[in-house]
Amino acid sequence: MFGRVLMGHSLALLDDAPGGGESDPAGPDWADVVARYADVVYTMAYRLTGDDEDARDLAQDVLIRLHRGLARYREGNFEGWLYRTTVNAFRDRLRKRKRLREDALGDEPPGHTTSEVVERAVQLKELHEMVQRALVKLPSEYREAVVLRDLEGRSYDEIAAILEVPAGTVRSRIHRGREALRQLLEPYVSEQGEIPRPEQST
Amino acid sequence: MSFYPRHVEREILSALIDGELDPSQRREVYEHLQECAACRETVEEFSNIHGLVGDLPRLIAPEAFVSEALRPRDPSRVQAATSTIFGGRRKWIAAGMAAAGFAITIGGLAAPAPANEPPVDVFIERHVTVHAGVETGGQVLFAVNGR
Repeated sequence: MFGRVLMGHSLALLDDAPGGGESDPAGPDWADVVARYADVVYTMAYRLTGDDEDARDLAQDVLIRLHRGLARYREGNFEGWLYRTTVNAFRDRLRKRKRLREDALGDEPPGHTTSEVVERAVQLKELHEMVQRALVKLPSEYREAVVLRDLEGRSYDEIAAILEVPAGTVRSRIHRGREALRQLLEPYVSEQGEIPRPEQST
Repeated sequence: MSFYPRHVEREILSALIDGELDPSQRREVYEHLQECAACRETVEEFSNIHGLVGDLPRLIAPEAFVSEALRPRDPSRVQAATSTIFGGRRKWIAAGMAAAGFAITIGGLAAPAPANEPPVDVFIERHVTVHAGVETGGQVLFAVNGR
């Protein structure tokens, strides 16, 4: 299922699998898995936690679990297993820590510059930080569903399998997550085309 | 007369932009959208949110984290277990065009130049992901024209 539908930008880097039909009959080894998935796992960990340190710990935990599990892994849905492992590790951390830091992201003002290009890049970075902050404010169940859908480009059925809930629940969580994001990001959602600066928010 | 006498449930509109409605339901919603500016606005908002989250960049895992993961641990078992993982990988479609803001065309319609009030099919085209067959995806555009 996961091998057939690949949407969005997030997994484009996984397309060109080394060892697939080339001169490596044993297929990719752990180094290939790490090379292929380290960024995927780290990014998802960061989007879920909103903090570099938490993301590293979580991603490390995920890779350890994957490494242990590989010995028992049988042919099937590798990405599904990877996402499920990530979500489970995330939930275990949440349970341990009750809450992850919501305001962990720095608010440092952008450096002064006269270049419009740099200015634009700074605005974009600010926008990404705003979206990340908003994401972390979502209830974790909504956050998981929204990240898997909007960032990882997974279908409702795929997310349902990962989260082990009915597809209708996935639909509801994504919708509620978007409603919450709409409120948190109101000026960005209603503004058309142009990226408003954070201080313009009402 | 539209199937939806008032407004479409917001959850349905959220599912619409994900391409998660069945064809008959999608058709009913499209009919309603032709008549209802408020619901079109909701679709735009959800579409923008989808775009805002979807545009978050892929991060690079810290070097130390990667090297730690690569410390040798029982490589023979790992090698055997991973040999089956990537079997079907070549079937995957390239998704690079999605990264460039590619929007899927519904039913092969060509998109006319956007006017102040785009026709509803053009509007939908911009905001809705359609799973044509089993392996087509589209990136929903962040910017909305004609506003």
